[in-house]
Amino acid sequence: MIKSYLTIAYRNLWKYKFYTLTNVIGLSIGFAASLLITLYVIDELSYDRFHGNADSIYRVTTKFNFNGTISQCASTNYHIAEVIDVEIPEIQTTLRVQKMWDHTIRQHDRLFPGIETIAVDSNFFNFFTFPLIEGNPNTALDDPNSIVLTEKLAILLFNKTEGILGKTIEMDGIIYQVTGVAGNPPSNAHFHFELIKQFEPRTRQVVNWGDVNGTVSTYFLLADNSSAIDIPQKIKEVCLKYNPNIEEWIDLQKFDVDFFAQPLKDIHLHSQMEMELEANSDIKYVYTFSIIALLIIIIASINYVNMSTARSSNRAREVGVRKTMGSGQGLLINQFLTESILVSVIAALLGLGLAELFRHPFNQLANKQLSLNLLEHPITGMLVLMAGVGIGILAGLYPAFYLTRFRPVQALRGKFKTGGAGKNFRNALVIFQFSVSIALIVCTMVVYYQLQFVQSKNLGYNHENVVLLNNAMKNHYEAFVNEVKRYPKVKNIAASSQSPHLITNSQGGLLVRGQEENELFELNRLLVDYEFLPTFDIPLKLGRNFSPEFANDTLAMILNVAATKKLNIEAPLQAQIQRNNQNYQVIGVVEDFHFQSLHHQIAPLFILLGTSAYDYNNIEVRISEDDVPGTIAFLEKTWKKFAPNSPFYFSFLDQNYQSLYQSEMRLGKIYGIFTGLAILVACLGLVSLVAFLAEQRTKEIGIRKVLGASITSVVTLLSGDFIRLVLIAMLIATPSAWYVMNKWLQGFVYRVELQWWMFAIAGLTAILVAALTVSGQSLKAAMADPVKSLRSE
Amino acid sequence: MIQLNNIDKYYSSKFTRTFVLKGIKLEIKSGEFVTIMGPSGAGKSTLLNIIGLLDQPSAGEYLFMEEPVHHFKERKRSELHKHHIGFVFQAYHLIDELTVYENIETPLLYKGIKGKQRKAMVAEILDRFNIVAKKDLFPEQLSGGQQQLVGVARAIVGQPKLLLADEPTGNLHSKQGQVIMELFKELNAEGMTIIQVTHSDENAQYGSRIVQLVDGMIRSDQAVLPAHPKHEG
Repeated sequence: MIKSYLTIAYRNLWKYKFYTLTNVIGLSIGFAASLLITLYVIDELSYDRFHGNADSIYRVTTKFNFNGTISQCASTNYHIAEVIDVEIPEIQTTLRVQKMWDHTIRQHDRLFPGIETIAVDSNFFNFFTFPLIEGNPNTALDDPNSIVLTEKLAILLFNKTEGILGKTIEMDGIIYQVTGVAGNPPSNAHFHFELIKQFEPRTRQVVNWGDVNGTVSTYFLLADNSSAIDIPQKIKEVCLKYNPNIEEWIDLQKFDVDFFAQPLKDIHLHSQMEMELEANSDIKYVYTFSIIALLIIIIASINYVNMSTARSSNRAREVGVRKTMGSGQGLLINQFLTESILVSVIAALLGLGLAELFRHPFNQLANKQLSLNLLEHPITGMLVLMAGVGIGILAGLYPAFYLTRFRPVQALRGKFKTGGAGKNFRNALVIFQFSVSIALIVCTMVVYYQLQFVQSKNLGYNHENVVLLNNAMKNHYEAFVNEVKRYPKVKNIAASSQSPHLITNSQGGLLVRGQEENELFELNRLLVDYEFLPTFDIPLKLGRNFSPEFANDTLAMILNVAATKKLNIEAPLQAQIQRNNQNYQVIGVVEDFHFQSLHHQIAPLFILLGTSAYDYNNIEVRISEDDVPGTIAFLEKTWKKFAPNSPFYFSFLDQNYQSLYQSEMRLGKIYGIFTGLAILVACLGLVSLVAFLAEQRTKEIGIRKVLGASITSVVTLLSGDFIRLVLIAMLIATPSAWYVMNKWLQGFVYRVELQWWMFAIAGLTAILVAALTVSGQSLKAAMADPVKSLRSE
Repeated sequence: MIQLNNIDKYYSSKFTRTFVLKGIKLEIKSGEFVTIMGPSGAGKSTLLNIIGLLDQPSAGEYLFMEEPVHHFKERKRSELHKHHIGFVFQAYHLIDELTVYENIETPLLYKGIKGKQRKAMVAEILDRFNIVAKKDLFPEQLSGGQQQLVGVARAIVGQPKLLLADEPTGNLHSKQGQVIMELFKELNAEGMTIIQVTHSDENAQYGSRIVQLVDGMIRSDQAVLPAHPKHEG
């Protein structure tokens, strides 16, 4: 029986090649898109699951509340790990990881800059599952001067991974000994490294336990048969025990801290805190992409449903005959399902090929290394086949029931009318397809429009033509600045603790005098030199800039407008502000400028004058627009002169600013591409539907033409129906897209308003595309010679 | 074999009932060759469809092989189609996408007959109808007469007890029609019960009994006299 099903399915598909082809192409695009998105989603969900202890590893995170300002932090101070290990029985062991500045290795007079380095406790390789290729995981990090390289770095430095244990390398002036070679960390880990070393001996240990935040990621391994539920509370109790003062703090200063035990497996998708080791992804993207994948496959399946029901009259007679031979509905349903499954499985296999073909561009777009290795994971092939069968059944079910419901008497009577309920159902599906397409167009447009807005918004400072350098000059800083200043293409040079495009929370408390007793505020802090404000054209609203003419400007402070509001200061220039038991005189107020991405409101900020070159991490050089390469070459030459041991790194401030929106830009591009695919698939369906209906109405068109109908009127006749459907789709898509995009825009404090014309453009695009699609087929039907079409009847 | 008691078939609209068949009483015994005749719209095809269980009567009782089939659900009707009834249509209704061989084989597939026996049965029919050479052709490659031959072959391959034919020669030349009618006569002689609907007096002569239907009612029901002189027109 199955053989007979397959035979007739194959012959039917072959006979109506055009319809089969549009169905298969549409479905295979759907499969390819869904497959790539599925790989993406699987990868996102696989983060950190490769660790043997993944289920019982947690990270300690903190939540601070400074007088209403809440900040969540992924790190703790250095000490918590040591005490909770001892004090809390449910904790089996702890581990600390700290991201270090990128180090520079000197090897045979060659410099290898930007080595991703982490400092860890010596039980690192037992705690996490990062296997060692060479060396002993138990002892590799026992010595303070021992380091472990990754395979990649070992090959870079030594051209091999074997036989390098015991060799020494020089890193930032210190000699280390290689004690292990680790496999490269998998891409689906929440932090990466090229080099691991032990924590440096703590010379400036923070004794103040109130300072529970820090720059160390603290992980713990839960003991067997224990629950992590009570651990946060216990950590807090331990904290209070070791630092009784903290309670006083909490009472007096409206300050509070809470701890959390965050499961390791949640970090990648559910954690957006300060001090993350690396920027994490977001479960939102996983959901969004999954929905898009689903929508595309649904749109493609709808094409199949529509064509099968539209062409039902062709099969009605066969159904009738088979029923008279004693075929029950069940057998007939099986037969039609076999056909849809055949189409779907062929499409799935083609989709697999397409996915492989477009894997590389997609990887680049999504910043992933996804692979479709069928030899390594034959399960993928099986899953694709199963998906093919599944989609085949889903897409075939309605047509199968629809076709096999025919009463044999009617079906055999010959002229079988297509229309009625079947037509309404088809129309509803076409409307659905176009609603989805239009909604996706709107979403893509809004994403692009918002990104455009964000990138061109006046930030309150001039971020163009600024070259950023890491301050590696330290002692030679003054000399470097003086030399650079002399170059004619350099307009200005300044230095600051952080770059103005991204000033993150310093978590330094600021006490304001003259206001309520002991009121504590958390403000962002920036250390600058005299030239900072003029270099960035940041206007002063009140007062003056720091100046060498005033000797005690090291105790002066400049606030932004947001800070004066937050601190509720009416006459800022008379205000004194206390910080770390020192009084600062406010000498100026700058207008608010955006020192974070536009996701954030402009926060209160205080600016201090740096006291030495060590206060500055960045050097900012404002340069002339012309001959930028020449200027960069000059800067590099000067750099080499003053800091020969440090690699020359530069970046442009405006590019750094744009990279704040990298994930949104990525999202925008992926949206754009999948929207295009959705529309393409929907239009494929429309092409075959119109072609079929035109074919059915050949005789009517012939008669109309004989009676004097023009080509235009025939095209209008055939296209009009579909354009009406797209208009209805527009009405449905508009509110849903509005709702979704409004939500997305809420994520930006500074955002575009949704405009009516965005919806109009999306709708018009869909109408235009549909019209082009439909009219091509209609025109073909309308231009056909009526004599031919009438004779054939 | 077939017993129809007071069969009505009507279509209801708001205030009126349009009768297609009214008070049909008919008994057909095993081995008969019955011709149903009558003007267009008399209800011939409807009657045949009811007998063939493709349509259901609005009222009345239908016993097929002593069973009250008017109560039967679709599944049981399918069983009867599978095992006891064969159909021949005016428009042949071969499945375009299947070859001659496959068309004839299809009812056997539904009957669940195993491969070897199925092959033998199809081969026998092909042989008997002299269409072995055409077995791999598709319907569109055959003439109308040949298609109808295949249609009859398909109808009887499962050895049904009852063969129903709705204007089997309506689309054929008279020569082709004769071939089909001779075949029917032969099948009837072998014991198959046949009921045909036709406009042609000539074809009716092949049967043993003629039922005249006018306006949904039986007007006459007579045996065919042997060696009846031929009518024209």
